[in-house]
Amino acid sequence: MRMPISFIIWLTIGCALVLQIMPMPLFADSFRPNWLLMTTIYWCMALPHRFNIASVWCCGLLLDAIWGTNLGANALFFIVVCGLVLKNYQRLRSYSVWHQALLVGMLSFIYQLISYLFQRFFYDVSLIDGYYFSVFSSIVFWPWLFFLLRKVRLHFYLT
Amino acid sequence: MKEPFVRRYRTRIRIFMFAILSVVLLLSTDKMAPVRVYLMTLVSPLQFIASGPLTLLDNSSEYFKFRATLLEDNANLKLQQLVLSNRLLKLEHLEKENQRLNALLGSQVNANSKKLIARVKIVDSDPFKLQVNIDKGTQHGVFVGQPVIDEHGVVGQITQVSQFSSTVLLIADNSHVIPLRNNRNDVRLIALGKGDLHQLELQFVTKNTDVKVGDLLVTSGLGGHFPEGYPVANVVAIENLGNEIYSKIRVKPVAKLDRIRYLLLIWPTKSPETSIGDN
Repeated sequence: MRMPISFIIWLTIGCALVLQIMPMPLFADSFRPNWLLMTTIYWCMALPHRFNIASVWCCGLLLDAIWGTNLGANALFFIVVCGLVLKNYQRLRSYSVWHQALLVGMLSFIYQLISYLFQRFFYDVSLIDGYYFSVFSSIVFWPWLFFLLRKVRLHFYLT
Repeated sequence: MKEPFVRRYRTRIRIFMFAILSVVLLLSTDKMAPVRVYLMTLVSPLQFIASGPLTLLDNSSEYFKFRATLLEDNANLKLQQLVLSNRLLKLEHLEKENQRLNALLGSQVNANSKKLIARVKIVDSDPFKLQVNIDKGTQHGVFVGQPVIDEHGVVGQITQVSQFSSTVLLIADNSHVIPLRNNRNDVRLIALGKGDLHQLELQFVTKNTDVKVGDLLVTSGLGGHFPEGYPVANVVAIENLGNEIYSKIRVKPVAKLDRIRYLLLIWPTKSPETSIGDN
């Protein structure tokens, strides 16, 4: 079964978006991993010639639309974070999964930090309790997401 | 040997280009409203899917209620209906009288406006923004800036619309400010959201202004967004620090912003432009 490659990729992005806005119990809410960011990082790393910076930008824009952030804010943060991935994808690929997980945690921290600074600067918001918890859950969930998406990629022969 | 270097260089330029594009988008937020409508319409099926499981659970718990509970609910509602319709009778009389008096004074008359009930969609949004998604959109005539209330008082206003859903910014959000009037003595005030669902702050109230703990603050209708006279908040605390000109007043919204499920959208009445000075 051959489906268009970009269709599969965007299907996974859609699933990540759904997970991102899925209602969660209050205690688990701050532990929600950055699903969309992690999925975007994976595709940037695995297929940088198919999933380029324009796709990353579109993902950020979709998140802006669905979250109700100012249009372009998350797009910018995604570009900053995934720009780092796109420039070092060969190096990232060669690392072990847990090593990758730590780096993804770091990227996720960068994302959280700049999005907080942005909101702080423009809207004078104060830090929410447990805002950075999602960094840890991103680290924990990365291996599972990595193996899942790799299985998807190999199953549908995405190259 | 040259090829990888060229490619890397190109990647860098493209990253930079898209970063600039995002900044341009950010700067032109107001002009991007139509694009926003399309984008939100595009993603609204995802919101529907995401809220699906919990909505299903919610509906089924409603479906599998015991008969006794339903009967009890029904009795309570009937009682409430009786009390409310009694008050409504009096209100209609007062409204008529008010309209007559207003007409005598030559000021504009507020007629009944169109209303629509919307249900809150259970989805997550920006962690820093206090906002909810509702299941009514441009299809039902919802527009940006529309006031939203619930059974207790003002909840917020519409900030984004799509075809089937829209986003309500709550009055407690950091970027929300609402013009108010003290119900007791008509002093005009401005309440600023602080990012806390249970608390707003009044801005620039001098120490000699007559505000007391327990005062009810209602919309003043001055900003032009919210119609006049809807309850918004109660004053809970007043702090007077010696070295400051303004007193620090905290108020609590009367609408239960943390447990809203059904909201009421109101359409402002098209009042005839009464201009003083002409004719």
